[in-house]
Amino acid sequence: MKLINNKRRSVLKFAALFATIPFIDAVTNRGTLLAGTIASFSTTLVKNGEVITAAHWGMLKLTIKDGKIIKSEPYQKVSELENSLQLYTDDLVYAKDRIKYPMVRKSYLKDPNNPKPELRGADEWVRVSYDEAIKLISTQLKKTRKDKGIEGVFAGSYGWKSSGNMHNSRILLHRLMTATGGFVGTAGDYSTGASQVIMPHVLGTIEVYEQQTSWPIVLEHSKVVVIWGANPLSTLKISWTSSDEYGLHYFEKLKKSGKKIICIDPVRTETCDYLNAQWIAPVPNTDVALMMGIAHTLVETNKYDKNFLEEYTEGFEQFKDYLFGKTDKIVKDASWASKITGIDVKTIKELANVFFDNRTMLMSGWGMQRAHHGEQPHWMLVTLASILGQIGLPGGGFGLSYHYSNGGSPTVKGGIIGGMTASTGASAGTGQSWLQKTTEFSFPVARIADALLNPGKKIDFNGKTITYPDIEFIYWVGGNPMVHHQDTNTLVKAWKKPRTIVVNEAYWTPTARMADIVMPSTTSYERNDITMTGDYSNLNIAPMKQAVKKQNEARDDYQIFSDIAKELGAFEAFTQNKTEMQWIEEFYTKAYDQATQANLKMPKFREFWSKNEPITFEAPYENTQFIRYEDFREDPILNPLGTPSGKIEIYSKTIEKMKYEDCPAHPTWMEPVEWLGMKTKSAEFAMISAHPAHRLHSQLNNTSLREKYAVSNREPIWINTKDAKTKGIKNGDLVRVFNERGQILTGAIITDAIAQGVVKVDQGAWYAPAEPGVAGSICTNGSANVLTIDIPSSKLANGNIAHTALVNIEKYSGKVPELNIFEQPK
Amino acid sequence: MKKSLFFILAFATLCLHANEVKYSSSVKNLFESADSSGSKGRLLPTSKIKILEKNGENIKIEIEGYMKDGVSSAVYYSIGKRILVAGLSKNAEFEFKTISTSKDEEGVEWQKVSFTAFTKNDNLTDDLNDLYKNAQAIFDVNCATCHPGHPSSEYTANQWPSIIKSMLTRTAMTKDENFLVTQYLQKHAKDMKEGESK
Repeated sequence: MKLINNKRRSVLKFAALFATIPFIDAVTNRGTLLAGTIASFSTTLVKNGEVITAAHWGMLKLTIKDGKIIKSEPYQKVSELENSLQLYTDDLVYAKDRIKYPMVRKSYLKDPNNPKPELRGADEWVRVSYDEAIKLISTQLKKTRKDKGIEGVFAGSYGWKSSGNMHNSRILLHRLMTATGGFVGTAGDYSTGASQVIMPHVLGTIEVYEQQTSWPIVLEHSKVVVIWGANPLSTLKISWTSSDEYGLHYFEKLKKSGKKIICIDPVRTETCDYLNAQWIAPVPNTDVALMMGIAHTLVETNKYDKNFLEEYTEGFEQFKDYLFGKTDKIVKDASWASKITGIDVKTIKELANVFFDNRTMLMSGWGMQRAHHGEQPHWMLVTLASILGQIGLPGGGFGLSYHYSNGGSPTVKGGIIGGMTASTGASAGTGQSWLQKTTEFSFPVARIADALLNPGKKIDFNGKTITYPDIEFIYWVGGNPMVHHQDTNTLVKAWKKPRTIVVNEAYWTPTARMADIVMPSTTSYERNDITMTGDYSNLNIAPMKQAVKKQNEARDDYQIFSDIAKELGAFEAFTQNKTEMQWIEEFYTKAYDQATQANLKMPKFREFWSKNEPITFEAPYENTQFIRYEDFREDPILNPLGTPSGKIEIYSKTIEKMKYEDCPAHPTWMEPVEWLGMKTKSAEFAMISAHPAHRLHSQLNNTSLREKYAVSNREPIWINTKDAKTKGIKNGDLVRVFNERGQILTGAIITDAIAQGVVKVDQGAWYAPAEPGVAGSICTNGSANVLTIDIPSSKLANGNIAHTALVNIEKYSGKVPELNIFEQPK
Repeated sequence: MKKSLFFILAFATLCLHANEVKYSSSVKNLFESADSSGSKGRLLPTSKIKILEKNGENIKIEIEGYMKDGVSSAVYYSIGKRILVAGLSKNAEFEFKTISTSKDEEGVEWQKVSFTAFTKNDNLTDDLNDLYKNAQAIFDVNCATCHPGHPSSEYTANQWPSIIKSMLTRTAMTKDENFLVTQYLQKHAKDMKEGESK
């Protein structure tokens, strides 16, 4: 055992040296693409047989009979845990609500200059020819650019577009906009809006999307694993590229390891049940207070790592003064924390002892930072981990990505495929005047409704001032803001401000229904593509071979954008005269060249493509032994963090200078705008809108998988048994959930797996207003975001605060409204 | 007569190259003397150098930068920011001159220095802007396929290396491209003012 450790150490020392002083002989040159080898490919489809493809939910094997998909199953099985999302590909292709033809809203078609935007969502749809639709989009895009300038065109277009490095719809949209004159984009995302902005101040890097201490190390060295506000069994079904599926494999191993596992979450998740973990349920949004109670206990009892704090952190003394009440006369001890969190003092003290006495890995999810003052929880978690002093040790410290994209699955050595880019080459390089200009107008992604409603408004953002642009034209692809954005009714109002809204979609999603021009797009099973799997591991290169013919009049986004580019005189810049297969070969060849230089064998593209099998790489030994922050711990001078001090900043002078009252210079407990502990509550229950176990956000809601989880044909709501009794609600009852922002209809699940006073409605149910286009109308399907709050986490990050919301519940007794969101609109 | 002619010629040759300013386009090895075989330092891409002497394939160059008190192995581009101009071996013996000393916001002392080194006469360019263009193009192609590209002004000079390092395994960038792109992003970072350098 010791031998291995010593060996790893020496490898690391070398690595550290390389990081500072690059060696020229280690530098390699990338091979150039052999353009001459590209030839046209036969695109004959398999009529009867099997096709390998991939989605966010992993590599898939599709069975084709008479040109139709009849079965969808996982390509591989690496865990006993099932991934429900993998089985419904046929439903996705043959959905009842596929958009069949280009469609234009009636009033818009009549007069695009006076399009009656107030009718969006309620107007009739008119079928137009593909060419007519392309001309209309092109003309109106040109007009907006002429009248309003670049800042009039919004193409931030956030969402979980389909997998694939070729048909990457959001990037293709950006490419179109780049090639034709510029656009306004956005900063950040909905998943980690708060954390990804605060972490660079604290750790010098974004942290949330980075490789974790490898699972083999955790399994070998961690004694205690804490899963804090995460439900990996649900969230590990997907990856941004395509899941390598080893995340679930390792959680299965964790279960079998017999380690002590603690789940801290208002919900007893399926992960908690599966791992047979200890369940601790704090009041929602009080994790910071709980961490402070633990921190206070540790410092007070002298069970903390003074040396680590001194060597590797900045500003602990200032934080300590706050913790001990020197600055605000409030001592943040266990009893203080107990009153806020609802967790008894004994348990808080026990947690402190367990964390300190054992090698403990604190795995945190992201839900806790999608909250008011969401910058604080992970900052406090890092502070707590610093007090414990196990950061950089095998199996210790914290991890913010074990629940996502198979974090901790070791990184392989192989080739990385290329992908579609927003830049067209022609405009690449410095001196893009429009880029400079639009960067100035780019705003935090979750401020979209605020921006649409308040053009010209100035907001604070991470030390800068941002002015909202005056948006007249929106183009959205691969996303569903009518479901993913908070406070839907405000968004519905905001959505009526622009003159033109264009959406490329495969389905009549709530967002497509709120557009003016809808272009029918293919699903990824109707086109050829290629992807890596495992965002951190890069385990496989997966072919995504077209399985069936394009349905109805559906076109690839690439086709649609090529044709718009042609209208606007930018066809060559956009396409570089390359076909789908030429791009895919080029992307593959990039990986091939890289692998070849690393003396790894990869088949040539033709062989790979005709074989229709993924390529799997291996992780070198040192990557299986990766320990996050080990290099920093080994030598903080040679391997400083990217912070101003080069250390973990428990106190940030940079943030101090911003003088934001809602984000002070060290982790701080601040009451959220709505929570169960507030003096005058606007509603009775705290609502958690967790990641759904059987969807990718809103994706797959329109498949028959829904039948497995819907309750009385509505999105389920989890209600604590005692609360249900008080409210006279039984299993399967229809429940109206409401607050001052809106109302939704849900189906009751009565359970003890949720804390009293808390309800859970998973996010992602399609917004289905009983009266389409009318703000305030009841959502008949149960979209949680109708009830959430649309204010920023703080001036620092401007992240969304989906998990900060109070709601009321009552048994629904009115006339049961029809649910027709999954059918063709009228 | 012949001797003096030789000197004049030699002097003329020297003059021809003296103070010729160039920028490194790749990571370059630095040597202590013209005939030493082991390299004792690395010059980072986009770093400015002055050619003092040319002798066939080899050149003697002068490099300027800042050294932080207590860190002997690194020459930085500006005070208080970890933008590397050159990394040096611990036992390196380059000829250093101290130009001035000053203190950063934290009260740490920084020396403005220049030192001479020998290197090969290759991978050098007059056109810094072209290097930056190239770096931006590599950045666009490799770092904007999974997510939209980030403007260089989004992160600070100190943050960029950590951020690039954390994402690097997901790209096909070579080591040399990595160093070029990182240098470019650092020198155009949020906290870099126009033309900030020595």
